[in-house]
Amino acid sequence: MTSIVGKIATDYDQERLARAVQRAAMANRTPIGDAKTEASQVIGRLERWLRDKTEITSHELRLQTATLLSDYDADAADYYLTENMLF
Amino acid sequence: MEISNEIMQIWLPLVVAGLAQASFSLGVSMLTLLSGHLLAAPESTRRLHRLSLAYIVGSLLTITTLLLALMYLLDWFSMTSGEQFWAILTGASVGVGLCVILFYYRRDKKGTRLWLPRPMAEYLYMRIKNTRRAFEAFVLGIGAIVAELIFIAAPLIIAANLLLELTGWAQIIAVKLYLLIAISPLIILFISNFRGRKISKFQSWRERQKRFLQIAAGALLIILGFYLLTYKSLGG
Repeated sequence: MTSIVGKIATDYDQERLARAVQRAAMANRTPIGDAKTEASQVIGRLERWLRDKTEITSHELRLQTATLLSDYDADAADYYLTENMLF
Repeated sequence: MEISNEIMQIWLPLVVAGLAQASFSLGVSMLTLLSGHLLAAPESTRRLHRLSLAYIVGSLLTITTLLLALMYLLDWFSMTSGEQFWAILTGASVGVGLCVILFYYRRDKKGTRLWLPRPMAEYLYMRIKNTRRAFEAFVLGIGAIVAELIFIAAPLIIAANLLLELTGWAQIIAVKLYLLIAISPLIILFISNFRGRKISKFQSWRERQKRFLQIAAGALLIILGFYLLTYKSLGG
């Protein structure tokens, strides 16, 4: 199990991250079905990347998720990456 | 007052004050986040338009109320034509302009963020994510203006004082012009959403131009301060 370290330490939550990726895609007007597919593909690749890691920061996780998402939808990846830096 | 003089002494600084206010980012950031969250919900598009409109109306009403209240108060205290008062306003404009350049954005390891204290920013994120009713969006629109009062007070007071130098229809048109300029970024975002543009295009443009917008807002206020010092305080 990979832990996310930071101000509040948590365990990596696959479903929560999938929902966040899907929301980012839908916020960019990707249809819900495509958004779900993109999210599951990104999570699948992310799981492989996480396999040999026991601890990562939430920022590293966000960066890697955005990098993987950009292969399917570069605009959604941009939005996903900057959404938490709006203010 | 001659028309050319009126343009140089009232209309031009009024437009610059409006542009300075329009350059501040919190209101647009809040509407961007609200739009993103509403689009991510299944039953979204019509609700997005309704809530965005409510947000813009909230912001517009707040700016209008503040502007008219300031005009009334300045007129009441007969401060409009005092050179000393203009000197104070020019100082405030330059001071706020410098503060914008120095403090409006801050950099940390995760990127460049607005000046807002983190607990306040986190509360705003949470509040925006849970916004589902038009009334809540309306209140958020009010909140966006109130939260930035520390920066927008200077251009607002300057605009109010300039507007008092006009009378009749010219004053009404000038009030509307100022409001239109101040609210224009929100209207552009609303139209962009209405036409089905991707929100990430708008957001990534803003992300790339953050530093420019910060310097533009600060520089506009500093230039406005020196301009008013010349024309109003020193009687140039």
